[in-house]
Amino acid sequence: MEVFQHLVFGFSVALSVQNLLYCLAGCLLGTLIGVLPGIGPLATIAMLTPITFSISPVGALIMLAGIYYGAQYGGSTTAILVNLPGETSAVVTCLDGYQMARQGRAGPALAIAAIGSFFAGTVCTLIIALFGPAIAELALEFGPAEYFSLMLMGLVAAAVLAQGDMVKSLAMVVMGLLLGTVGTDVNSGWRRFSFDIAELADGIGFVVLAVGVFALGEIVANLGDSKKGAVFVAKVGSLFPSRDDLKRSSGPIIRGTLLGAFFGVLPGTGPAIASFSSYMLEKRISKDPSRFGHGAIEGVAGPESANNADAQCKFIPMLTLGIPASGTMALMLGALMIHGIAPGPTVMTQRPDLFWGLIVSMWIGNLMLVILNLPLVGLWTSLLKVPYRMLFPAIIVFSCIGIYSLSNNAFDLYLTAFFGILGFLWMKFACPPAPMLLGFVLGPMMEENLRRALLMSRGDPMVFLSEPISLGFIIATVLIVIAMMLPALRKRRGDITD
Amino acid sequence: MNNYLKHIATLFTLICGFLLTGTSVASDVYPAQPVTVVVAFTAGGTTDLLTRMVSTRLSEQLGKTFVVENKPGAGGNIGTEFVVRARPDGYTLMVNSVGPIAVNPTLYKNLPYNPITDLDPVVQIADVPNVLVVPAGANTPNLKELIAKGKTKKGGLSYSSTGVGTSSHLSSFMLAQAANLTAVHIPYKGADALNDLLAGRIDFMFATIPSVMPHIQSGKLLPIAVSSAKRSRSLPDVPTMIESGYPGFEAGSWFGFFAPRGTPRSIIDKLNKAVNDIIKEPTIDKQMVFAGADPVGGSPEQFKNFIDSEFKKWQVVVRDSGATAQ
Repeated sequence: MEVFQHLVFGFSVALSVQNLLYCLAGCLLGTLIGVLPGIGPLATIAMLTPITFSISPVGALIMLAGIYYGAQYGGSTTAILVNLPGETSAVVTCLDGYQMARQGRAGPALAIAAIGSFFAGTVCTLIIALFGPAIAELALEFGPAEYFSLMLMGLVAAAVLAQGDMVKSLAMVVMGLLLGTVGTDVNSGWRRFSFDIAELADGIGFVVLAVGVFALGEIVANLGDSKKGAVFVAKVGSLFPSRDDLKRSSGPIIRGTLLGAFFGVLPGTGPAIASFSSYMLEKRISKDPSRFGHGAIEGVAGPESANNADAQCKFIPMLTLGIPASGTMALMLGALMIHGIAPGPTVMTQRPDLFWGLIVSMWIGNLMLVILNLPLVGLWTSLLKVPYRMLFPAIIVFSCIGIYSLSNNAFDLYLTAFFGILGFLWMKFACPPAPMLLGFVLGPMMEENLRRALLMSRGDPMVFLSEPISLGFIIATVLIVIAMMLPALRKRRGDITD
Repeated sequence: MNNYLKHIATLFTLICGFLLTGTSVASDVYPAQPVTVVVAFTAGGTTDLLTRMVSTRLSEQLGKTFVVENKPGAGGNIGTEFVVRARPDGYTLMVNSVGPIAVNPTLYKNLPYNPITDLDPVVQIADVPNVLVVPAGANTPNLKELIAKGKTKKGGLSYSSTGVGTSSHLSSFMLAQAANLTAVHIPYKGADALNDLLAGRIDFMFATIPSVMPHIQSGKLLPIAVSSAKRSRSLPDVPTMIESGYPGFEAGSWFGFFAPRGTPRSIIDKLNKAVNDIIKEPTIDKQMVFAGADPVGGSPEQFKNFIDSEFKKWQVVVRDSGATAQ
């Protein structure tokens, strides 16, 4: 077993005192910045990069990677506790995690998030070790036509996110698509819906939108309802998931991990897509979809696993192809370059210590994070006993610090406040925010890839059907539409015969 | 903490201590407080990387922290305007690049400031040439064959760039114009362009050297020319565009320190000297090679003249290309 030997070698690198310390430092720092909205791994890693020039490249990468996946762990904490998505990818966790917290089940939600993430981390470490270079080639098979068809499928599936009124949900998807068009058009350089405001030239930030709609909207709604004011007090139930919780979560965790690993290999899919997909899948196959959005533990377990799997598998295209899937990854590539190491197919043979050391350290880091996070569950949930009149100003202050740190610009704060008001109104009108966010995430990527595919084919739309992978997604999309319409059709026929 | 790190930490403190006493003995008061160095792009880009490299050494040399602050947005215009409006006291500086300084005044119709007259150039840090790369499987191992393919391929060649009006886009436009080619521009947001280039869906691209270096080393992308007047130290075997038969073709990125207009000359001179010293240091020099940068240095006047010529050059290219951002 060659892989076994490699892993043993990896352990010998990752278990050195020095590298263990770098790993721990990275995980701790990552958890911390994950909890704060806005201050993300990108800014943190950028600040730390010059410091890493003086330490060994293996240690540097282990620490930077720790920050990166540590942030994914931390991001879910505030999402569950106070509906504040600490990272982009944690936004899906808000949907059911926060509802669980309101029912006094913050403990099980936090614990299952940590357990799911750890499981996903372990599986993905193995996937990278066993198949990394082989499946990396898949990333190159995905061009604009493939990405467009994949996202089309995602958008059609968004109907699953609907809660209550279908029309309202579809309207919210469209709202998301429209908000996504704000900013400079990639193809022409012209600005759309930016009202001559320079800050809108790059569009609306996802974190700005999510924090406004979820965290601030929720605060306004809570304060507006005098009965809800003391919502959390005295209702913190059991800290750890029950047997039933674990049973319900095992399926979603496994499916979420696989979904996340798939999206992780594709560098062109941004954050949140993996977790959204997992959420939609779980809701679709659930025996009782109506529980979703009202504190279903599957809606936490699946997306959290998917999110961590996605984050970790993004290392596959980075290490084996040298393709950065995100700004954070590009930064880590840059750090390696400064050390004179060129990531890519040669890194495994030229620097096996770096490749295998990093992979093993990721698993050790995941272990550290779960050991770190499970005891913290008690501490976090006790935070909910703080009276709301003291809690909510703290949430607002931390949100503001985080949002400001995004681009050191006060305009983002005004925009967040604006979306806070919108979020409150949407809540009052029972318009679900999740379809809007999915539209917002998918819309710009779909538009970009559609136009890019057509530019490359010189305007021939058949490109979506002639590429086999793209054709596969189009067929799947059609099947999804049929599957969704079938119950409605059958029902109508039933009406006629009655 | 292990011994090795402890030693480094002690050494670091000692060096800082020496430098601190060094500056306090000198009569010059600047800098008396931390200095903000604005970067008008997100963390992690070439501008950010170079700024952090140099600022770390500036903090050590001048005894006060040089804090790097990213103010990204609108092609660098938001951060640039912020520095234009800052107090010219030497405590707000910026590292800026060819885009916001020499291209955007033509590209954007209504800039509320003029980066050329509203900023005082301090010193040019480095040139970062673009390299023309093609996918290894495309059978166009040199410029001549790429052009030949462009003349025969139905629908013309496709080239990717990091966005409309970037030096990556305009360099390709200059090539298409000079070689009389029809080529379709396919813009991306930043580094996303690599995937399609590696997969061979794109025919060529002008990219910054560090972004494609791993792929050049692994043999998946072929470098066929660099856009600087002289060959790049990072790719000494790759000919320049001028050598390849395109006289006057010079279209790289460059980076330098700027201060708000009216910053005291003594401060500018002090910073100029410090940066000139720093970019000659062997460790910084080595990091620059890896970042694809060729250190430049020189006086503020040399930088000013260079900027004027760059502005004139890009004005023509931007107008010819029809690119606008408004």
